Amino acid sequence: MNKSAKKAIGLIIFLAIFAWGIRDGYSRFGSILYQPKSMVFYDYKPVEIGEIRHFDQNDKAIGIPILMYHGVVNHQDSENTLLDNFVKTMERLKKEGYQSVSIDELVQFHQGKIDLPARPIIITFDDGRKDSYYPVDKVLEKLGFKATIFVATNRANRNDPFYLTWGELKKMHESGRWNIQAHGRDSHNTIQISETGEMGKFMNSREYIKGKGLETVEEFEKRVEGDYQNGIADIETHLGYRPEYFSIPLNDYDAKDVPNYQGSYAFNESMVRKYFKVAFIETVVGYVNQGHGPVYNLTTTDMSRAVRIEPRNMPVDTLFKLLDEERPVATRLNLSNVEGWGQYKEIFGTAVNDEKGLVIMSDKESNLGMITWGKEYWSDYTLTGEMQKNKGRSAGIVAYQLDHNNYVTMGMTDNSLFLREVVGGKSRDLRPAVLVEANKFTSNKYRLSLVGNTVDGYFNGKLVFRKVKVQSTQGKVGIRIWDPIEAKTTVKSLNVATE
Amino acid sequence: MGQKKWKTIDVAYLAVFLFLLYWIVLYKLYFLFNSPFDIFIEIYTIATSLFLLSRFVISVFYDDDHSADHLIAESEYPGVSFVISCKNEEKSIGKTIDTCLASNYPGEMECIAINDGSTDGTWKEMKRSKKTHGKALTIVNFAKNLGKREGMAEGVRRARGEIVVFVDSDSFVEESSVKTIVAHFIREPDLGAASGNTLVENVDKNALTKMQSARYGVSYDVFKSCESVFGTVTCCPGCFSAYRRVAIMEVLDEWLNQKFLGTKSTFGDDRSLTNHILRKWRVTYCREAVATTIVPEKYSVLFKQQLRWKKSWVREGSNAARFFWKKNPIAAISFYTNLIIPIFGPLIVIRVAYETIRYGHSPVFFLIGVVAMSMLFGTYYYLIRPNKNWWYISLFTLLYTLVLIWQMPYALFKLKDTRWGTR
Repeated sequence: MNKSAKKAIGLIIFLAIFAWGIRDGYSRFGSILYQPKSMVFYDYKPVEIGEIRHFDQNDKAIGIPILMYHGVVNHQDSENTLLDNFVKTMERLKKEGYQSVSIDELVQFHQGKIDLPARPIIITFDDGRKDSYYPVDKVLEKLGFKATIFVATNRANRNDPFYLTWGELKKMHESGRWNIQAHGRDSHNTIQISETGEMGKFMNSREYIKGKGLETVEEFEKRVEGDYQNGIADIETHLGYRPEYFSIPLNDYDAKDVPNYQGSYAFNESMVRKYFKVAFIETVVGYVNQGHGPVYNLTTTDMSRAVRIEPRNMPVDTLFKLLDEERPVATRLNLSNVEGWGQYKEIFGTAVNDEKGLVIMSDKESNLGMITWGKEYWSDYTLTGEMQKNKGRSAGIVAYQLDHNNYVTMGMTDNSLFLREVVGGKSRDLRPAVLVEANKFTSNKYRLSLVGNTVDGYFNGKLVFRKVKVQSTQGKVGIRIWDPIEAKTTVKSLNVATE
Repeated sequence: MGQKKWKTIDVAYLAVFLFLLYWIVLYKLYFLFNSPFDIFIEIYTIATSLFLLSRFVISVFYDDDHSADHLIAESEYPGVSFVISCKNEEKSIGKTIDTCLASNYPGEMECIAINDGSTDGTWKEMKRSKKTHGKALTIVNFAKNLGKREGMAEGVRRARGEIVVFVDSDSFVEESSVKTIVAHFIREPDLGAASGNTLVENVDKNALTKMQSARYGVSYDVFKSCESVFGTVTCCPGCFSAYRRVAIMEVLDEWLNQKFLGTKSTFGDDRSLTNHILRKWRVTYCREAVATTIVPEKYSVLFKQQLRWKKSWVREGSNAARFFWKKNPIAAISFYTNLIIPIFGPLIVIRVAYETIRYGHSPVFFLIGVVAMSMLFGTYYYLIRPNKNWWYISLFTLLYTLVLIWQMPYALFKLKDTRWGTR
């Protein structure tokens, strides 16, 4: 054997050993040698937050807000959140007494199995970017929050350096701080959807295949269902558990792009229901003067379209104002001079707190007085009101009130007891009025027991109207008085309870 | 490294080399797979890493084997003509001629010294030397400065030896080197030229000469070795190289009248001549044939020399690019990579500087990487030649990265400027 051949063999042996050493060292030492900017843990030092707001044990939330982020970055863009904004948001959550709850707990709450703390919050990240984890983890750790990250698995599968690898995801999962859930595999891809080269979304359009034409609906369904299965299978393979929650890709499969197959939405919805316990969309928030969609997830929320707020770079104060204003209130009231009269809304007339009770007076123009409490989403409750007419012909309690043109009311006009529903401003007696013997100016107790669209009406403890059907199923509670000249009624107590 | 005896110190250096190699490769790979995607950085990193690291693999196959030299009969050694073209070198020309002709060489030797319009006592020195050496020395006087290339050509025309050995007036050939280098020409009929191995004469003068000593060592014993494996050495330096006379004669006129961008090429004559030979002949490097040369002792002189070399490097590189693809594919890929890397080097440095200023990213990692890579070459070089100044390669590399690298864009702009700059 000549010299060169010997050298070549020696070299090949050396290179083989060397390559083996590199392969072995890659995962052991790689991250020590080099950390890209997005991979450097942001070394969060908690600031003095001050006193953390404390809530009574019995104070239970009845809705959960969910935050959704993409990356947490150092240079502002339209998609991601600046680190400073993110940290301030988390600190404010901590200070205001928010507690992380898991999506498992959301499900149990939705099923009525558990109570929530007074200020629950779910923090989520979409896509599985490295900068969803590295700048964030220490912040979550120090503040005691948990988060869920929805990964589109094709990025981890091909080791895209911008996204978290399976190794990193496993480490996150094992930390107990992160829940890794499904976001499809190729779900974010763009595909050709017409012969002329128009592009569309993987999940909501039929793909144009060169030389073959548009795929059939069956092929579309097979491909899209396959992606749901693949996203699940990837997580199962690498992390060892089956994901049950799904973030709907590109927020509703990116409705901005016109799909070439209208049936895709119904199909995707059926897939989401088939494979996942909960699926998430983003609610519309943050646009001035455009209002917003639902902010909190309630027991009545459709869990295949659980709502998330995507704050991006929304000012921290704006986010918390939104959370406070939209926070659902439990269907419960216990109002009296002793308990106080709480937050009420004067729709007509005025209300004044008197030593005998809350005195309501009609206004001159409408001849009406209407005061309301509670929230539009209240339903299935028993409303009890005790009141004494001082002046005027009519006075009664109001339930299922959505606005001044839509409500159910029971009360007295002169000497007769009525049960009435107003729908779109049109008033209709649900039952014929009943003459009662009580003095029209004595103190009387009215009670409406509402279950779904069925109402029972009680007068001074006696069942008067039984199983009456109404059209609405939810709304606020209140008092309504009327007289062509002047009405005045003193409310002694008002009580709302659920079973 | 064939019959090298391994000493403890060598094993230690080998360990350091392997240690550095392991971490550098690991770092590069991890960086490539995990940094945010940036096509420019990725391509640059892959190209430079592959080029640099492949040098170690290729140079393993370099073997300057002289174990069979004793089989060559003394009568087989052809005539050798030393050609020394110089200007204003009165201090060293005499010594240079003496050392050439004092070579231990079995064949005939002659020396042709050309005085290229010197304004000092060089011609006087030559005439004095002529008295000592007689017929063995031919001296030629140019009344005015015609340029080194004309001098070299004149020497070749007058040469009678089959082998022409170019020596710079500030270089000194070791006694046995000519015999060693000529042995290659006897054994390899397709060999057109061979570069000798030049060490630094004034190495102990100061840090700058030590740096150049390490730099010469790495560029000869690593880079030239690799080129030599494929017979495609791109530069046989004027300080000490041997050429087959017939090979030069074939291209003499063409070389002499070479024009680049419309102006006559008047520097980088050695690289240019090698280029001409390389089209047809093999060109190798002979590690065992040693000469020493005096290198600049002042930064200002070094900078001018480097700028001149860079200009000729760009010019001759672009000339060689026209035919190099016909050579061995590994040699060709190496050549084109090596041609492009230094042109983009400044962009990388600008980028690092920008990120330092704009985002406050520390450039320390970049510099550590540069130093680590140079140490890798330094230790490897030490294993070939135990030069105690090996680690100065890191200083030279830093000097190059921070200062000399900017000469490249300057050289690109100033290509047409044919002045030598002071020498």
